[in-house]
Amino acid sequence: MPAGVFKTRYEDEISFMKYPIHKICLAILILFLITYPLFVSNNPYYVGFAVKIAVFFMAAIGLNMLTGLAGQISLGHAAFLAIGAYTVAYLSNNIGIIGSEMVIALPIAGLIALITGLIIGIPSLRVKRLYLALTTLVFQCAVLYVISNPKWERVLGGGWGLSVSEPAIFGIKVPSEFRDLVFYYFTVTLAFALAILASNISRSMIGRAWKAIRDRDIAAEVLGINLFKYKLLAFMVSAFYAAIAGGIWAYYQGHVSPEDFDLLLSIDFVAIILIGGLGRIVWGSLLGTFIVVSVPEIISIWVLPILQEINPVYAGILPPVKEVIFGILIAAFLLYESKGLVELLRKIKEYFRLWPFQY
Amino acid sequence: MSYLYSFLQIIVQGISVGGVYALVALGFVLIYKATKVINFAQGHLLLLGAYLYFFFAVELSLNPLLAIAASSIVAACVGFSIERFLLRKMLGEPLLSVMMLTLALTYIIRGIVQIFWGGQYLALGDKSVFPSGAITIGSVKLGYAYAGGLLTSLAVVGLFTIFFLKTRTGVAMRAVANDQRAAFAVGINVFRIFALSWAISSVVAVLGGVVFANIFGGVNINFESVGIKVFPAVIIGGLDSLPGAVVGGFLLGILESVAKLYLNPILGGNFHEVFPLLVMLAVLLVKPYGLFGTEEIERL
Repeated sequence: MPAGVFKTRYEDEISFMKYPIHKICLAILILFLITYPLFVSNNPYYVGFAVKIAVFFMAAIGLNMLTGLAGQISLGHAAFLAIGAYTVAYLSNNIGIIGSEMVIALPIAGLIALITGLIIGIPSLRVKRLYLALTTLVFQCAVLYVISNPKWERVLGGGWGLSVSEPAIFGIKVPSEFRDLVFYYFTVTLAFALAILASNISRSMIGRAWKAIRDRDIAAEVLGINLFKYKLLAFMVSAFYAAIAGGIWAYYQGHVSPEDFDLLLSIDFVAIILIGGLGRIVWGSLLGTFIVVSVPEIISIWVLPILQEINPVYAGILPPVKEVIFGILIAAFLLYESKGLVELLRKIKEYFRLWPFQY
Repeated sequence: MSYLYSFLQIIVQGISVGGVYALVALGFVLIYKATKVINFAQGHLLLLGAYLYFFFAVELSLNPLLAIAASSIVAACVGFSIERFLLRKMLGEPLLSVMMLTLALTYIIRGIVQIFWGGQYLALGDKSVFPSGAITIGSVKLGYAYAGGLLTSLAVVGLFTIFFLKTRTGVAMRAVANDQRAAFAVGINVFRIFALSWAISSVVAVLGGVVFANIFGGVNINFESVGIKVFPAVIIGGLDSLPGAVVGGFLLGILESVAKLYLNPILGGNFHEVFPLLVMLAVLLVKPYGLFGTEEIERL
């Protein structure tokens, strides 16, 4: 019996899943995802929480491809979510039955985001690093200004935002009693598919070109990589992922408003990919999303009762306490494990691989 | 507002607010020059400074000047600790990580301020440094707070010029900004300079915060927005140029108030908040190193 996995064919070497254990884990994961609503006995809070994680996960994959693989820093990711969400909201309010059809409206939102991403990516050809981050910051602020502008209140809802009518999937209206469940399965399936797509992009020619650009763009250009094409492609793909996530989020919330997509959300996404692991497309994004989305919830569930027990007045300081803890968490990750949670898990795995016989 | 909104009036008012922006930009550029750190928390240092001033002047009812001194000392300690315990460990890390650390700092500072003082507007009352009222020159009417703020900013800028040109530490700071390795080689304690730049920059932010608090008659959590506004100023002026930061700050103030008066009614909403950013975008695309910045030449 061989003492490990040894590949004898080239197809094995380039296959998507290299080890049998990965296939087993994947099967367990899929089983878990399917039965998750049973585990939490259909509690809408926990199902909704899973939907939120799936949505943030999709958007985080997009940013992780742009920043982690292609090395282009973006502080405007929330703006792409806003574009997706507002497209969906506009369609559902104005186009009638087609607009509330998720399968049609989401690709349209993605398409609009692709075009926007193309435009937003253009400055990346001239400016780099911090300067590029600032151009995306301008984009974020500009989108926020446009969607909250009272002059266009009739189209974009101004400060109040827009309501989104109940969606349909393949022509069937989502029944209200199973709403969370339908959203859960739809979003998780989509997130799963997009994650596999992203993972495959990252190991294809495109992904390798992005990595070359990230490491040294001039050297990449010398090697014959078309910077113009691949930088813009990175922005477009990232925008697409964000817009799909934003669109689903708009449907799920039933309402979009400017403050859902402010700069803090963009910063959250950067925090997600840094905490999870920069360039670790699937697992980095997933673990980072998990931390960033669940930590505030955990604080509300655990810290709030303690605060209220001491003095009911203290309950009011919960949001700032959340902010402080969140800030400390990000800082701690940057200082002590700058490669993210994925790297931390790898270290733990390495430690236990030969445990307890280290030598 | 009973001010006569003539064009000149707007310009003068913009210049006075621009003084604060110039101070914040100065602090930003100071840190960037010495340590190459992009400090997204500069606006939050100003926020902290304003609230510290509120704490010492109103809650402890100290004399305003004494309160400024006390809050400057506290802020200097804060700035020093930020450099010593957080950013020094990030030396050599990629830009994104350092950027994110300062963003994490914004969360922490804003959270702490809100825990202690809440998010609502707190009035300074009779504890403002400048008397109420206004001076009138021709058709231009300028509140004492605005005028005093402008004078303060100009005084700080002047002090800085003297500090950098005449004192030993100032020259050492310029040396570090110019070439870290060479500065190290001639025996300058580079780490001391790093810590010092953060401390000085925090004190400058406190002064900006005090001026802001006086202009608005109180402190407010929205002061943090200066942290974003400072970017147009430093980019227009050039990221590593102190005179550029001052010019950029004043330009930003003027741009903002002109946009508020003339462009907001046409385009609607808070266009004055976006307009400087759009100008910054144009500058970035045409002349990425600003008016006075040094151009980076990239080699393979």
